[in-house]
Amino acid sequence: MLDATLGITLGEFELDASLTVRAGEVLALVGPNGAGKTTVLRAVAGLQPIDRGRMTIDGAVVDDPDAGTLVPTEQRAIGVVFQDYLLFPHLSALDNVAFGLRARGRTRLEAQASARRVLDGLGVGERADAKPADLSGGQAQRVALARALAIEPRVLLLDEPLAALDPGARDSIRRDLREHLRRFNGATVLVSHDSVDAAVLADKIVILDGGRVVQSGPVSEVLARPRSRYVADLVGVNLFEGDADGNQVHIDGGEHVVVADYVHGPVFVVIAPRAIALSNEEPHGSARNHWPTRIAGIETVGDRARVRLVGRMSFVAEVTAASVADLGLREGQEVWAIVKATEVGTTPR
Amino acid sequence: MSRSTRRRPPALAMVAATVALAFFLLPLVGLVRRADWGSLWEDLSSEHALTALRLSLICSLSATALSIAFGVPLAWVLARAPFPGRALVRGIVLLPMVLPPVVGGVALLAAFSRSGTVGEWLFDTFGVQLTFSTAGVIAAETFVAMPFLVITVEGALRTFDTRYEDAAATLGARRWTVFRRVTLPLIAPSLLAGAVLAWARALGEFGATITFAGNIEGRTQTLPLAVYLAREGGETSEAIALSLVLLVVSLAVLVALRDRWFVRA
Repeated sequence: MLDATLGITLGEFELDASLTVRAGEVLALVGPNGAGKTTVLRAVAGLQPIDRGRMTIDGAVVDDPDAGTLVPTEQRAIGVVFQDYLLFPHLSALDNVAFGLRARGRTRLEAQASARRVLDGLGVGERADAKPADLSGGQAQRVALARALAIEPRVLLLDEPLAALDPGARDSIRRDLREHLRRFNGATVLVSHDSVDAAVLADKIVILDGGRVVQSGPVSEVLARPRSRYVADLVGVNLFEGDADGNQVHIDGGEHVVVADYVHGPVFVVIAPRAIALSNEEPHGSARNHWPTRIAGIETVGDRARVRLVGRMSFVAEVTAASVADLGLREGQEVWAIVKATEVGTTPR
Repeated sequence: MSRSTRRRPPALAMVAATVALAFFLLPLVGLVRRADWGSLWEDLSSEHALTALRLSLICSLSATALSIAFGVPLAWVLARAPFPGRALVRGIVLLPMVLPPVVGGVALLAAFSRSGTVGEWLFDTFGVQLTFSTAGVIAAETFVAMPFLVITVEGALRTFDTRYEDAAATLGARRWTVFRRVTLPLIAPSLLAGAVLAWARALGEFGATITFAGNIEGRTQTLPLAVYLAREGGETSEAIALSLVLLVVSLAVLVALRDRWFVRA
């Protein structure tokens, strides 16, 4: 378990955040560039001492400036997957993974045997002898994860683990990563700027902006009920779990969504609030998804309005203030929510 | 004006460049042409030449080893440890590269001769005398050679991505392990290049050596000193033969470092 209240001053930049991640839990730190996400990771890793606050890992204090306690990085029970992985280019995948065990005093043979088991467990055992330069992006990510996990850390830190991958590979690697994180029994902190990453991988979310926590809570709650327009723009998406069967996704609860992609198996369905159109009459035309809903709330910010819709499928839609007036939208009203198949995203889960 | 004529270099520059190239090349051609190939093997395998060759190898390799042992930590401090006056320290380290070697020799005498500032204490305490000894040759060669290693390694450490060291620390490696297993292997090409440069400089050392250590056969007379003495003593074919040895070594150094210096644009 990681329990941290941390304050760091870097020149003009002030970072203040607190996070609690229990063993087995995954917390996503989400925010724009420069929000302080990576600085939080570096502080937990001991690469950036905190100026204020207190940090414990499994109850043991690792950083407490008031008490003068600072456990150096190499003595913390952490594993880190860096943004571009930072695999040692002169060592094979196997020796990269064995590095931490060797540094902890295990013999070469013991370390390599353990490293091979971890690589096998992550499905990259056959690449054990390859140098990092010869690994694909997905393989490098798994080797980096293996290297971090091999030392059996209590806290696993991942800095944008999917950012270095090309979009085509990202979906399947994200799904695999989710499996691996589920099997890890320590606390995980994951930095991302992508709400889909957070939705797929994390249990809890902390949103950072300008060094401050602007919202935190369970992922489903934060994504569905962003407390500020800023958070809504950053992470507000409609997310459903379902099983895909070609162009249809059967949503848990009986509904189905028509998608443009041809997909199979368990997926998340992602619908951006702006992709939802509202209508007072049932639309015609088969390519469209449409559901009858009731308006549970309207929140107008500037020239746009976020409309909460409940029904067999519940959404948050974002429409212009003008269309609120045109359609005469008000709370309690029945409307049709319409989404084009091409506007529906899917990602394997 | 057509594009092709604009691209052609000016004639005057071509002439000057040709002259410069000829100026570099002609002495080497002369050296090879004047060599007495018939007696070359005899000249090189004489007791006198072999002694100088052996001494040169021992001294230049020792100087290279000392340069690595002390130069790498110095490079690390210059590259990584911020301290006031770092620019001044770097200047002091680089000074032997621009200082006339004979001045270096005189300066070494002032410090390390038996009556010198440090030399007197060395002699009284340990009975060590550097002047007119093989150790003195090694000291003189290290003095002029180490800066080449220090600047090469410092440059490599400066451009080194220290996040690799962060990654190693998160894996539980202490500083020395990080240096030994991550930093050192990753800067190895630069360390090797610096060591070769330092070795070549030590091998060719003349001015500081003859001033500080003297010219004693079997003890301080290295190859360049033997070349000079043979030339002065009228043994031209021997001087040329020994010079050819040094020329071959220099070419070998160029070949060894070609990837560093002859990277195609």
